[in-house]
Amino acid sequence: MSSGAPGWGAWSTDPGVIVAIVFTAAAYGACYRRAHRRTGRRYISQLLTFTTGLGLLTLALLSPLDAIGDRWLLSAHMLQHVLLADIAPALLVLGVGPPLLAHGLSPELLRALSPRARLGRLLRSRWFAPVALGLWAATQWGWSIPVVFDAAAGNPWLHAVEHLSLLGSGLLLWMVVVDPLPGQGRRAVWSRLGYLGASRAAAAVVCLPLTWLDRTLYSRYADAPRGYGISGLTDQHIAGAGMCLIEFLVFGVAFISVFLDLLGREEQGTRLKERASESNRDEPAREPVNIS
Amino acid sequence: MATSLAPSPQIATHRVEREPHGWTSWVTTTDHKRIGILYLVTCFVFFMVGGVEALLMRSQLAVPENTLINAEHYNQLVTMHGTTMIFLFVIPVWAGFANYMVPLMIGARDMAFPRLNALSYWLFVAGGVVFYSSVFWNPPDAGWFSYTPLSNGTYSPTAGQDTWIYLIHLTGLASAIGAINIVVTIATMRAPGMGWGRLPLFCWGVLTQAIMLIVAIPVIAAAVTMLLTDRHFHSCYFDPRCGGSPLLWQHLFWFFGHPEVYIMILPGFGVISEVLPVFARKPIFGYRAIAASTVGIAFLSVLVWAHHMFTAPIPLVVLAFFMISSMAIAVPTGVKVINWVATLWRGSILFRTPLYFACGFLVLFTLGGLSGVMLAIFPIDWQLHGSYFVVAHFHFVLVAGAVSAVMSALYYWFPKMTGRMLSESLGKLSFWFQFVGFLVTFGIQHSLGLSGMPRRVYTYNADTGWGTDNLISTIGAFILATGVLLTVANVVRSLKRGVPAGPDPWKANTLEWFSTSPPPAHNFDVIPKVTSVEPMKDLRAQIAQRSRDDGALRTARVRAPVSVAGAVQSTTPGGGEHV
Amino acid sequence: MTAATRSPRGRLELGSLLARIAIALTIVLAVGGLAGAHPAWAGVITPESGGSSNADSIAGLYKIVLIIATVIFCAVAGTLVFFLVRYRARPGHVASQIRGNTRLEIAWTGAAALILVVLAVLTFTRLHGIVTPAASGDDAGAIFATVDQPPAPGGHALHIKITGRQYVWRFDYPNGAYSYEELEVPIDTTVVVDIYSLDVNHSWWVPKLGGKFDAIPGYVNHTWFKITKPGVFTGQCAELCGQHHAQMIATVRAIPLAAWESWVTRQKQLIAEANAEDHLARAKLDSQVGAAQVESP
Repeated sequence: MSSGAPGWGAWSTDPGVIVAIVFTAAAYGACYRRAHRRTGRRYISQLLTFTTGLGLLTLALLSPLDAIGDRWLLSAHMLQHVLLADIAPALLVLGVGPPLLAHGLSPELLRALSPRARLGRLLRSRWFAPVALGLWAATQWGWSIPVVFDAAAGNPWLHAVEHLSLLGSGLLLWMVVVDPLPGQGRRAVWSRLGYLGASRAAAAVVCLPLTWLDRTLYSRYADAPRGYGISGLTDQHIAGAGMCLIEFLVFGVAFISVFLDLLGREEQGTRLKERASESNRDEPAREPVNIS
Repeated sequence: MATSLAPSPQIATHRVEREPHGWTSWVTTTDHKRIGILYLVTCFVFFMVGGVEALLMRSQLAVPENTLINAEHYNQLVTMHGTTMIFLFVIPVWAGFANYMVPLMIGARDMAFPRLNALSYWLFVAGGVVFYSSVFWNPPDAGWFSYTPLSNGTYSPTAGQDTWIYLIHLTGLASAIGAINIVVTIATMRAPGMGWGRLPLFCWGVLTQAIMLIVAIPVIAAAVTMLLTDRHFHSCYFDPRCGGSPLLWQHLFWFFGHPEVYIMILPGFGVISEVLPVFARKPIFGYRAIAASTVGIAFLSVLVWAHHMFTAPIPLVVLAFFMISSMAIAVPTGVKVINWVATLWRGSILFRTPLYFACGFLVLFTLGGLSGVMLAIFPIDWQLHGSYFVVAHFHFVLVAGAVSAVMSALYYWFPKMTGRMLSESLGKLSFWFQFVGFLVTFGIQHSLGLSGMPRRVYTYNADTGWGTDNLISTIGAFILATGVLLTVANVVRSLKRGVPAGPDPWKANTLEWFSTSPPPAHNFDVIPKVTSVEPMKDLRAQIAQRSRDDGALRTARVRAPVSVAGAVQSTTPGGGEHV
Repeated sequence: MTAATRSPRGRLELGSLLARIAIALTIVLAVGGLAGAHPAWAGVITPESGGSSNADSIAGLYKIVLIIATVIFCAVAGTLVFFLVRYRARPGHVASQIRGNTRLEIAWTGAAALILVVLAVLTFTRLHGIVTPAASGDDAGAIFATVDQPPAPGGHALHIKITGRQYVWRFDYPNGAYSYEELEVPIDTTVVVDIYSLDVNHSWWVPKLGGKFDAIPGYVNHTWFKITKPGVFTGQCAELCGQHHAQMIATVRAIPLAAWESWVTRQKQLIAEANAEDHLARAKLDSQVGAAQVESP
């Protein structure tokens, strides 16, 4: 590494980010404590996923990755974006899955999330999913435009807006995929799988050109001093292939997890229906079993 | 099935049909069971033809500098063998089993589109006929994946290459239509109570295969059309002399080609998932994990194709991506293998021929999968690509894998399709010949590849030292062929002289065993309600319960009204009851 | 362990113990045998190597993967055989209706993923030695020679252009000389080959000198080798290229630098002489034809 390139000690101390992370951790802690007090259970897997998500968020925003990605390596900046928009939000949303949400939120918040309240209706509306997907695609594509990307990397305020929008749209997207809202609405919605695929396709629009193009797109990084021994074009190729690879792995894990979840919900739904019809068994059936 | 109008009908159908008979009924049938049998018989004919082609090749390679078959004919044999086995045997044989079994397993009376179903079969036959008509002039000789420029008009001027293109189109269309049929059937015609969480794993395998076919076939259809126009209409997709790229062909072909190999194996996975629980007398271990792995493998397999191209001029970073994605697929596959082995844990294992083939599959497919992981590591692949190591690998997963599963399915479902059991002793003998013959033939080929023998060579020099290994491989091939012939003999013999099988000779778990062997044209008189992932176990328990309640083994009356919750006719038409 | 009695149950226990011992022995033997695999096993259970360090690196990586694969296979097959013996149907024995065990399944899924991560990491750490050429004997700097990295200028490497065609390899040397079928190279020098094709796809492969790289018309591919001792290495085309694909042999002969320099100079001279002769003969033919044309209209 040549002099000037950030090393392992170059952690950022952005107060805004630190406050936000601490606040989130505290809120989650309160939620967890309330749920644990009410039911006595330890929600270990949710705790682990949420903490990992928050940890990755910290890494993305405060570790040397941020400093390197600002000026030196495109691949580092892309990694940061993937962590922000995809991996961290997925883990955060998984970390608030039911029954933690059902038991951990205060009664007022639960009321606000119920299907009758305005927020609850909004979250459950038909338009929520397409809008979330559209927002996610828009942030992925918009911020990847070379002029915009380079400008955001240079301007701290724009950079903050960029990161917030990526994180926000990621949270919305993963809310649709993971479907963490508690209650009777836990139907098996198989379109979640297609939705997941569509989000990956949207990301591929960004990562594929970066992997295959023969010229550099982002002048800020192509013209930067070579600090880590790889050329500008290689850096771009690594950025693209790395992003494609992470998207692929996330897709694989998420697809299988959602599929398993759907199978579970399907079985639950069928059993509920069977139990309901059994309680109607005393009534004489109107017609014989279908023999079409 | 009774054709006369009895005064007190026990079976309430809307109409009574004459039994179809004669060869015209076979040609015009739209009954999924008959179409299934047509597929299976045709596929086995092509299997024999492909096998003969293989034995000819192995005979030529048995000794160095052999002159049994010349260079031109050898390349033609290589191409015909690969194309036949893949497009005219492995893929359609699963169409055959799926056609027969899927409607029965989900409790339907036929496929969603019976006439389209027949069309699929006849398109497949047409493809085979067109392809084999090429033996009358010049068969194609550019290999089953027909790399350009070798397969273009300059280097393969004869029409044999065009018959290959037409084969792809015809069989591709057949498969795509069949796939749509399967998807719609499974999505809409399942028995009451059969949610997605209770779909038999064979149906999951077939469903996933169908979706992959729908994704992959348009790509290969486009690619071979581009090749056709390059060959005859002066287009320039693949010829570098006018701006095209041979690599484009490779990308397009393998984008189809890799899902293709999973298309060939996924229904086989489903068969293993059906057979093991039956012969271990316990449920499959981790139904959801296996279903999820099946679907996961399918979707991930679309993103690994360039591992067939690691030696081509492609950027290193792309090679790295495909290495990791290819290795990632090993995880769900490995999970399935472990789950299958775990199914036998604490079971009560019955040693019958279907189980033999299923266990042979487990051992040999694992070996093939591990050699696949080696090939996925691209620096290693740089030594192994295009050599006999790859030949060994794909024969392990396709012959020891898919063909073992086909054999297992054959021995398992033959009683249902014909009403007769296959001979157990002949079956076990056939298994051992196939297992040993296979290992001898293809095990040694790993070594041949490691010592530098490339693929598709019609001969080799004596001073390479490859003679001994090749001779061993050829001997193994004849042992393997004997094993296959033993099964064919078993089938022919058992058709007339096999022990009669009842509806449920294996005491199995899925709905096809609820009907007679063979089932009547309408499959079921009454479609039972499904209450778990093993409906036959529940039905047998209910029947046992009813018998105990009634104090009588059989009732002749229809029980009416039939309540919605889990009741079933206590008579199974035509056969005795197996409790 | 219960004492081996004559009862069926005792025999079964003994059988399962023996099976366990057999599995353990197999694993130990396999791992031990592989770990001690010496060069004579090259080409039998490991790829060819010995000519150049990149081939040796590949063979080394292969050995590690082979050991891991063998252990996994023995575990799976051994367990299978053990279950088949231990849980065969016996009178009065009922199968346990187990449907799964989520924790166990997550554990072995994670373990499988971990093994693959280890393999990937191992590969990437060794990749440099396989892809990057060794420095030439006269100490050059490292030069990249993968398909997308052009060789650094000023590096001490010998560039040879390899052209594949149906059914022979042609080698072009830097001084303008060329040869067919047999490539002469100096020892102790990094040779970087640029691989082309004139007609269809071929593949350049000399197993002892490293991996194979396709010759695709319209593209150029690269690889390198550095031979340390004089010798002859053979290989053949590894991509079906037509009827006589099997006869497209390649030979690489490594000789001392001085001998190579004189050979390549002599080769150029011989070619020039042959071309000159050819010119003369052609001119003579042309003049004869010209005279004939004058004579008969």
